[in-house]
Amino acid sequence: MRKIFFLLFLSLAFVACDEKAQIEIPNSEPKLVAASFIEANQDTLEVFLSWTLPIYYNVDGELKSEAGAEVSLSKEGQTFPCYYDATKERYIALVLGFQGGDEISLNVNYKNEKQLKATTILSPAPQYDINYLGLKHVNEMDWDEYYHQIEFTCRNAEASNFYRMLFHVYISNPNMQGYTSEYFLEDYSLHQLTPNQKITLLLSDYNLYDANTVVDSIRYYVYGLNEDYYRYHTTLWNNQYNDVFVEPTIVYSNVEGGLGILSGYHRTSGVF
Amino acid sequence: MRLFLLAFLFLGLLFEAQAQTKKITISGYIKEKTSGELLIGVNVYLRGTQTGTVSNTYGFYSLTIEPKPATLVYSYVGYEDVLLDISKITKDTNLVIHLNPQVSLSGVTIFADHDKQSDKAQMSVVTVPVKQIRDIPALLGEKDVFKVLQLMPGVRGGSEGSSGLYVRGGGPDQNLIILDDATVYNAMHLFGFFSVFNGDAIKSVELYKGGFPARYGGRLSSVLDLNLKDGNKNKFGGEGSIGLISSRLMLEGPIIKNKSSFMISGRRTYIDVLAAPITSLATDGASAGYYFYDLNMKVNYEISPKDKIYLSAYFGRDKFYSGYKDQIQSYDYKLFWENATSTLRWNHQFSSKLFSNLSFVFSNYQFVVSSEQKDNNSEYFKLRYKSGIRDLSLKNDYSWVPNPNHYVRMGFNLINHLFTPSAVTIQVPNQEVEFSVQKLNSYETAMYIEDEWMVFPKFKVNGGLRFSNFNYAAKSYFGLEPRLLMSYQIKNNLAIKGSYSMMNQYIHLLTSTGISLPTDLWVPATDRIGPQDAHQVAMGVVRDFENPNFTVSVEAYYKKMNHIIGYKEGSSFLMIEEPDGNQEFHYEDAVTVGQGFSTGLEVLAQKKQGKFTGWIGYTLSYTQHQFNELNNGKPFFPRHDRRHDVSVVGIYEISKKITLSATWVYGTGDAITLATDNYIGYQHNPLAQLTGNNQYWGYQFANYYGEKNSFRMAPYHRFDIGAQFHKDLKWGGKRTIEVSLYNAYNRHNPYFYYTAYSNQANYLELRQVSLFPIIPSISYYLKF
Repeated sequence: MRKIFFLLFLSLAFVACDEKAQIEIPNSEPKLVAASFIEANQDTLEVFLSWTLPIYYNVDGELKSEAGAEVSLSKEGQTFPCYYDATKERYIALVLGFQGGDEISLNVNYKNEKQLKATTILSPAPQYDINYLGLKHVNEMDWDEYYHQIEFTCRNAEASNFYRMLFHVYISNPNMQGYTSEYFLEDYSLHQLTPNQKITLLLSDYNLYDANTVVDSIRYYVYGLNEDYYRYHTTLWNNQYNDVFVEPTIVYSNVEGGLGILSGYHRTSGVF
Repeated sequence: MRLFLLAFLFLGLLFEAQAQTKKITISGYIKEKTSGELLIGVNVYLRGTQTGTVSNTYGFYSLTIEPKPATLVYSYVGYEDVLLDISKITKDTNLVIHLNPQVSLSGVTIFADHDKQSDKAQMSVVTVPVKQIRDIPALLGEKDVFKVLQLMPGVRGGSEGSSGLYVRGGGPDQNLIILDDATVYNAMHLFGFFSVFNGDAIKSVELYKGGFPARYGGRLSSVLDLNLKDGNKNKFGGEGSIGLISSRLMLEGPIIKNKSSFMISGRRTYIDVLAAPITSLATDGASAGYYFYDLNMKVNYEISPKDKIYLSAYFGRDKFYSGYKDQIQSYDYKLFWENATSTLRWNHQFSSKLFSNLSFVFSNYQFVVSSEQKDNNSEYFKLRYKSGIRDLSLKNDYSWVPNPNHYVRMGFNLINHLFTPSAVTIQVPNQEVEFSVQKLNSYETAMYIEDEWMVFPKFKVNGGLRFSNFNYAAKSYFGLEPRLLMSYQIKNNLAIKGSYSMMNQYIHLLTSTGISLPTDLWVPATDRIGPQDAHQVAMGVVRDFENPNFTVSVEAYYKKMNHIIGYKEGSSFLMIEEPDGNQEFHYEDAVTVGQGFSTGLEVLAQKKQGKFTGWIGYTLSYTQHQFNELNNGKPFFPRHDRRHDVSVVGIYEISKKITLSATWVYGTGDAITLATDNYIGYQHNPLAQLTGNNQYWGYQFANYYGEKNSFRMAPYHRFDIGAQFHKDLKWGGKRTIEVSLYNAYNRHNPYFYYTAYSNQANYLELRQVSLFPIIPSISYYLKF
């Protein structure tokens, strides 16, 4: 009787069926993709151009850059044509540095078949207070960890302000004669802050495993981002997750007629 | 509270002033004759007039009338009418009425004049007779209340086989599910394939999709009110069934005849037992399995004709387990989630016109994962993760029937919610560490008053007001929720109806997928993420036909939902925070607030009596959401948006011995986000820039999806058919053998899509996984 039940159960158990979907795939005509991140006060700017590639039923296509388009950047009626650098596989524009607050446009014409247009406003110099609070030592389950504690306060007046940070750390060890080292620590988050909002960064540093190591100085780089930069990068980073429990992320684009991003940032620096 | 008493006093004076002549009140309880079970929603009316009332959730009725020769009719679908000559009643009288179930299958049934939808001051309500739940064919023979509700217009399920409910464009988090006054927070077994409600133990099921009476609140989209059976007061009996994946048994009977009774019911799956030999072989001696079970219990005691107490409880658990043990080491892994509810009720009849119910309610839901490893060297590691919600509540409701033109309900509700977002305990030799984010304590209170008012015989109004309040930490929210429903009888059997409801929801469900998972987490509204609210208007026409008797209703609705929460793209709630002892729980970082609307047209043609019963339902609906942080701020269709939804249900009693049933459903495919292209997503990389490397060295391959949920899955349709063979047994019992086919024409409905290389060529193709092909089942049912 047990065997009969067993066979019955097996024959009727959930039998999932896996087959080719009998449904029309949405139109995936290739789209032109442009990307440029403009830094204020720089005289060389770059634009990258490529094509999308259909995912389904694509036999011989590959992702590559596009060299045959007319590309230019413009500001208040002033146009800066770009030339294609085959070595770097991107378009280069030589400009007199764009300033914070400038409205920049990108125009792309591909053989009169496709036209892209994008506009962004460069961020002004970011306003902020930044303080080094020292090291934090954490011992959990017999494991020592050291964190740099950095307090950051937004001093911009806009309702939403966007920042990115990077730190260049210089250390030495008095017990090890002549030992010095330098390295970069990245804060892997982009921050959206309101005026006077204060955050404390905890940056794990595995170079400080020896309690005698001394932090000599830290150079910080604070990037004031415009919203296009922030939205594009946060959505792009989320887009890569391939998790069935996570809703797909649509990458932000401000390019009309295609895909991609025209965005800007303003870099500042100082030393603790 | 003072406001509440003042309102009560004011209404009392108002209604008494209307009573110009001396009247009598007939009140009491209405019970089923054979079991003594209290009956809900029985029509009580003076024959040939519009004067009448209905029994409430506790079986109590009260009717105040002028003392003159008349016949009082007690009428309820599926029961024989009771006619009572009241010409000799000259003073207030308490009457307990017993209704006899109809046994005739002749098809000649009494169509109660007052059991008409066109006559009721309610709309957007689905009432499912428990018998219909048993008759409709089901997946693997598992009868399920939710699956029957999904066949009604305006209600759809989640993905294939799921018991989730999406009502009028609302999400599964927007349904209030109450069992004997206790909130059930996770009503799903086996990832949503079955609901937790065991049909054997259920007495009544009522789903409100709109036109919400003021006595209900706390969710935006629907209220599902279920009541457990009280238990047979006259004799011992029971019923049970054996199915392919589970068996169940319900026992009931008197404790003290006509005074006290009990009901106890249990259900358990045995997939684990049947599959144990295979899993043991496949895993080289390890054990693994899954099962779920439910237990329902209820006892009641009639202290006096005016006082009754009830104690009911529910406990259900799903459990996955795996383990291994040899001479060197062992491990044990468990994952379970469980609901427990308990309700203590006291019904008191203050007078022939005033009835009260006082309930103390406990409800708890928890999800637990535990893992334990040991070896011979006394080394061990033990981890336990827990999340959940616990409610303690006090609920007091009053029904007051001052005269036949008014039915007043009022009451209050106080709930203490205790949320446990996550608690992790790790044990190693000589050390125990607990990483626990703080528990969140909150209070939700509500007061309401509503009056079902017969303005004149053809025009009825149900108006009410609900005042709600929610406190979490130092933050308080208040809500004033007006409710209005009007019904006007244009002519006999034809009525137009309209309603407006405003609802507030103070707790949110965090879930990152379209399916119901035990990891779904309830959290309170906070200072950063406030409560959700919704405004719903509905208009409808109802026509009752008498020969043959059936009802046709058409309803149109528009629902605006504000401050609804969505999950930021890329957010997952499987692990909401790293278990760091210093971290506070901030679910707000992972959600975003937006708005939405849903509008639709629902058509239902339903035949409830006779040899052939069933319905045809059609819904045309349109739901859209808009969040500033999703889909670049553009509106999009949520996954559950369904343009067309059709259901056809037929149950035919060929004879006393055979019942045939069939259902066919069709629905537009789900709206999903599908990648169609790849491209190079370049990134700015400050580190590379500073160190002199290529500025654009940072890139990743990105997927192009078009707009959020812009792709439609293939339409869903399915045909189920079943046959029941009944037999009266010599010793007095009844048995039924049911055979059924789920998905009879073997439609491959997509459960999900994924991308894979084609077997025939070197390219990627879109593939679909379909879950349930044609599935036959057989079950054996016995009643005694």
